[in-house]
Amino acid sequence: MKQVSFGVMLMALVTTVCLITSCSKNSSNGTPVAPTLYDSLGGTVMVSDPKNAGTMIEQGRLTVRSVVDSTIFVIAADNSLNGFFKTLLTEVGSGNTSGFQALEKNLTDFVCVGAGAKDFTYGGKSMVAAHDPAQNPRMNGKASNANFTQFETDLTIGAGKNGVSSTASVFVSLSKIVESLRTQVVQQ
Amino acid sequence: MAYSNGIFKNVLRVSGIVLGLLIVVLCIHIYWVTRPKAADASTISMARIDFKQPVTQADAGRITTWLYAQKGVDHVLCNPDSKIAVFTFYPVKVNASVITNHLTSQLHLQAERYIPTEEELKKGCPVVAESYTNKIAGFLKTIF
Repeated sequence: MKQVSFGVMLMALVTTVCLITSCSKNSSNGTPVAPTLYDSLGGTVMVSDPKNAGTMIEQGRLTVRSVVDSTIFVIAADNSLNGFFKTLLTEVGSGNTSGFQALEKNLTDFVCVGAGAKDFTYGGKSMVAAHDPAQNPRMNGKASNANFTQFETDLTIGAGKNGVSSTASVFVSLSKIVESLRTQVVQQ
Repeated sequence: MAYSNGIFKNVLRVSGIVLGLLIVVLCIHIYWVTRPKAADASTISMARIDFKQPVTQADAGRITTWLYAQKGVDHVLCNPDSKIAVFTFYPVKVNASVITNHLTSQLHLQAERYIPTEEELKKGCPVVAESYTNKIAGFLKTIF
């Protein structure tokens, strides 16, 4: 009797899994997927990575990383914001990664995910939690609207250094995504 | 009944031993992957030089050109308004403090390398993923 019950349960489980997966396949085949902002930035087309000889990188990620890199430089030299990013100046730490490399990677992941990339994940805190000193002891004070506006200004400068004009449609879309984070980041 | 109890206890004991061994292996793996390591050829760091005198646009150009000419320097940005120059470099090729000293002597500029304190490094935005692995790694670091 116990063997029969177990067999029935196993069959039910297998049937359920098959139904769920087949249903999801049917629904995804039915409707075309709209292109994402990440697609506009180059998407998943693989290109040579200029920073790592012999390796490939998604064009979309390369575009994002280039803008992030330039923006990091602008922020690091901007006294109104660099106080929030002193970890940029740490030298080699865990896994022989510097503060610059860690911030570059995680900011790139964050922006890629926000732009619709599917091959990367951002495992950090939410923007609300990350900028709330009560939830994130690293934040030595709440960010102001002026801080956030300056961040957007530095991002615009960083994009410009990569030939992305502030009026380009992709940058306008990216700016809207960034601006949508203002109410989460600014908590004063 | 006694027979099934004995089997159950054996299963529990073996499961416990296997689970314990897996946890030990996981801890060793996490420590091995996240332990501090020396820089290698692909490691790139950022350094900052603060100028103790006014910096004109022409000065910024000179500083930028000079820094780019140094072996091991990758990318440079000099902001004359904030009197700051930041540059990325390969630690295996060059020492940022040495670069700073050479810059001040060769370009005759009053400047010093800005190095944040330990306390300052604990603050600010790291944008670091705080995955479960990182939290466990952080715990292990307190032990090792």
